[in-house]
Amino acid sequence: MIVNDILEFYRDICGERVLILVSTTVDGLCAWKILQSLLHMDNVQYTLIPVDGKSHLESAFRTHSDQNTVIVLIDCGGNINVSEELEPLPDSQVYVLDSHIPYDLDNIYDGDVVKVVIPESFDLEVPRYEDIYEEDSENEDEPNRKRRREEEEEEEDSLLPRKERWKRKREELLFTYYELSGYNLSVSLMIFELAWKMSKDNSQYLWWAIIGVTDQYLNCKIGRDQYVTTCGTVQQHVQRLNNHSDSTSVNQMKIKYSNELRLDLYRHWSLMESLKHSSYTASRFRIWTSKGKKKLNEFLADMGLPLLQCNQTFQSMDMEIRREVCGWIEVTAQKYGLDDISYGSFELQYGFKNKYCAGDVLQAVSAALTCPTLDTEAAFLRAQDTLNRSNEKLIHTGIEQSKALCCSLLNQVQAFIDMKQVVCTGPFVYAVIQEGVAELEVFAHPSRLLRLCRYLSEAYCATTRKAAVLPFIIASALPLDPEYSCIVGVPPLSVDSNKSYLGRAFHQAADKVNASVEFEDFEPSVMQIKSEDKAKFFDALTALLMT
Amino acid sequence: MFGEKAVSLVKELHRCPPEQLHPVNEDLMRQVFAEMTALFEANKSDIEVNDDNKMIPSIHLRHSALEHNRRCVLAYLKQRLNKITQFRWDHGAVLPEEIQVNMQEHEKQWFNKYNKSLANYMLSLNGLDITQNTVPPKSLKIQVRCLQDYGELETDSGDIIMLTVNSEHYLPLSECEHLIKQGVLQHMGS
Repeated sequence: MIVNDILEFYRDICGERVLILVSTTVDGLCAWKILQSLLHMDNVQYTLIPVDGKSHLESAFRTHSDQNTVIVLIDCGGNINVSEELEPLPDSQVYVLDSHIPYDLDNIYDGDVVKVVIPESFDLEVPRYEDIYEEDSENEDEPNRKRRREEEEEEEDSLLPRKERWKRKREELLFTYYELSGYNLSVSLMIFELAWKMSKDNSQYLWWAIIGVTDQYLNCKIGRDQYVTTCGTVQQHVQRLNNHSDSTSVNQMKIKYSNELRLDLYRHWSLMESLKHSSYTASRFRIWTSKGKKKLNEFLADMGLPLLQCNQTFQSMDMEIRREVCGWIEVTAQKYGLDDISYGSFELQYGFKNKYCAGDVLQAVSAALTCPTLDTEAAFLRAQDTLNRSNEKLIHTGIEQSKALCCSLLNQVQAFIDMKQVVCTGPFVYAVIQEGVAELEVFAHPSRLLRLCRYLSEAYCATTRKAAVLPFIIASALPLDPEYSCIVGVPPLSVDSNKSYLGRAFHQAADKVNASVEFEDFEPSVMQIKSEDKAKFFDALTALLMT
Repeated sequence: MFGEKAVSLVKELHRCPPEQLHPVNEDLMRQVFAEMTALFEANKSDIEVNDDNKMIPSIHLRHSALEHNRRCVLAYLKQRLNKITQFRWDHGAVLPEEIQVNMQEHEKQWFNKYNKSLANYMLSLNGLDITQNTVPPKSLKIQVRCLQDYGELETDSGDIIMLTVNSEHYLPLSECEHLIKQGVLQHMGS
């Protein structure tokens, strides 16, 4: 069942004990932070369990659902059949707030237990009920039988093909509906708008929502167009909140729209390191070649930026340069074919020394969230603390971790390309992280592997242009269980939409060769496969995508 | 000089941190008492020997020193009792061992009496524990994080809550206070 009015959702969960299951994504986390504050305000008791995969969701649901009648799934559950997989009690209510599309049709059309919250503004292309579900036999058979009796057996022949036709159409509809997987409106923005509609919004909530949206954009979950539209909405909120607050205290949070460079963490790093490690510049310059390094130096010389300054931490650069450098980079970058080096984003300032841009905070939070040394729940709680305004220390730890991750990413991509481990099979390009590599641990988390995959596709396409139309796939052994490998895929670079058919293709290929696979993650193009079945699976996938 | 020892007695008490109780400094007390006896004797003999008025100023001086010492000793003892009263509110009816060993016999007796009258008073209020929540809580419910697999917790309203490691809950303070003390839950300041 679809709930359009998000206020209705909130009204229903107030006054009850709520069980909340949040997937361990940055967007889910940000949404949870906002909802948490709202629940605190209304004195609603809750239990929160972070979940990182489908089986984890199931077990957490089993353990906790008996005691709660109201259950909220944040950023998970939309694309699985909730009433079948989780078996909620008939008198309970399960609310699903998920950004993964397509939603499972059973969630939308099934009973009153499962309620999918989708704001009205989002136009959902869902096949009609009559086309998918067989009509109840009792209601439908009665007139049929009557008619049959009346018109005797002539009708019998034409009835069968009608059913057949309906079935074929249903299959077709289902195929097109489930073919492409993607994302719609960020959940954190959805919950922010809930807070707004209740007049309980403030800059803090908006900042969390912005981080959620930025996560969707920078991790290529939504395309540029969708991001720009969303930014427009966010911009209105920013202006409204800035106008409303008339206090001039420095400690107040101020959000500002600004153009942001596609350079990772440069404010907390040196400009040189950032240019070297960011996927955008690294792949455009082909930084792993000596020619690329030269070109980067040429780029800096063109701007008239002394090397001495570039190698310093950004904070210690000359004041004048620091103020002007972003503009210089934007202008010079166009000369080097780096046309979209900047994108519209937001920055936050409070106090005299705290200034963060959304991209940097996002990186810090996601580094904490995907930290390989902590288990899922602990990492989630750590990331949750990182988002708190009072925890500057944690943000800085997160930023350091994120820098280390950037270095690992570049090293791994360089290793792939130098060792010629990137294999093009025809319909897709893939690479395998060999077992026993020290980096294996770093890329244990699927979202880090996805990031590596995007990095690789950008880097590889910079040398091999025609690869831009092919999807990229990376396989890596799971460090905890080397029997199994994790396979992730990203859609081709040249495709503008961020919808991917890989999840569907993975399913079909695995079915074809009977490989033992698990689709643990909520992201469909991530799967776990028994390592020995890997070769078989790749063959099947090649055959499937060829056609 | 007269009265110096008595002042040092008070100063000693002042130096003692509020959450501790030092043993009674009997040695110093005895010295103060000795000084007081000496003052008293000197006054008595002065009065008995000379009945004219020329000794009156010195008698006055000694007497006010005597009074001063008495005040200091009483303040010392009273302040100790105040502290013990405070301990009753902080620690409950049974005081920790390290405080008890430093209490004197009559202080213990006084403490028991105080306990009794407090209990009687609370009983007259239908058993309301007036030592709890002396400061109004900011909110009735608090955010807690579960540090270990504890199992089921039954709340006053009859609900059952599963406490599993690394889950977060928002619960009434009264229900999770003892679990926080046991170290099962951790209070998260929001």
